[in-house]
Amino acid sequence: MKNRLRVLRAEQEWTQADLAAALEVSRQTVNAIETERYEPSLTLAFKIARLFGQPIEEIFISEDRQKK
Amino acid sequence: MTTPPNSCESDRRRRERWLLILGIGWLFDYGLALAVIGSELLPAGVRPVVALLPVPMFGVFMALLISVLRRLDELERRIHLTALAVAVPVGVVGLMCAGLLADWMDAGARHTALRFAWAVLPVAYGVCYAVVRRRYA
Repeated sequence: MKNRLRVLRAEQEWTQADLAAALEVSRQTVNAIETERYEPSLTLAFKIARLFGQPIEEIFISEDRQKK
Repeated sequence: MTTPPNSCESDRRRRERWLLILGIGWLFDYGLALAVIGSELLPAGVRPVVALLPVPMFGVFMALLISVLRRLDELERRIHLTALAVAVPVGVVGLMCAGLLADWMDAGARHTALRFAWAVLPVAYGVCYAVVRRRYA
């Protein structure tokens, strides 16, 4: 699954550590999500969406949606 | 720039530091018990007490370990769980091979190997944890 987390974080001028603090996760988790090595749980995905004020599907793009 | 609130990262690091200190203390207790229990000067009735010497420190270690585990985020939990899932069969095979090799050993070496057999699982777990953690680094 692709995601726009790095772009959204850069727009806010947050570091990975800032975002990790806001989401109450480790910086490693933020990095793993950004580099698409880890797909977050639904709970964390909702938390990310709420933090950036965007719907989940605007941040996380599934492979099927990309093909369409 | 909007800065999100600070996390409890320093609190976690403090707990992990204490975990390391307690872990070393626990191993020190074990080493002390190991050194003393073989002594001929030790009365037979005291041996079970010496054998249980690492238990109190282990209890404190476990309490802190649980508090650290409860504070882990979802990725860290996944890393630990994957490491554990791989380490258990690796540890079992390690113990199995050690058991087979025990037939080749003399009684003294077998006795020493049995004393340190417990270390197979934590070592396997440590190696698996390092490998799995690298995957998400």
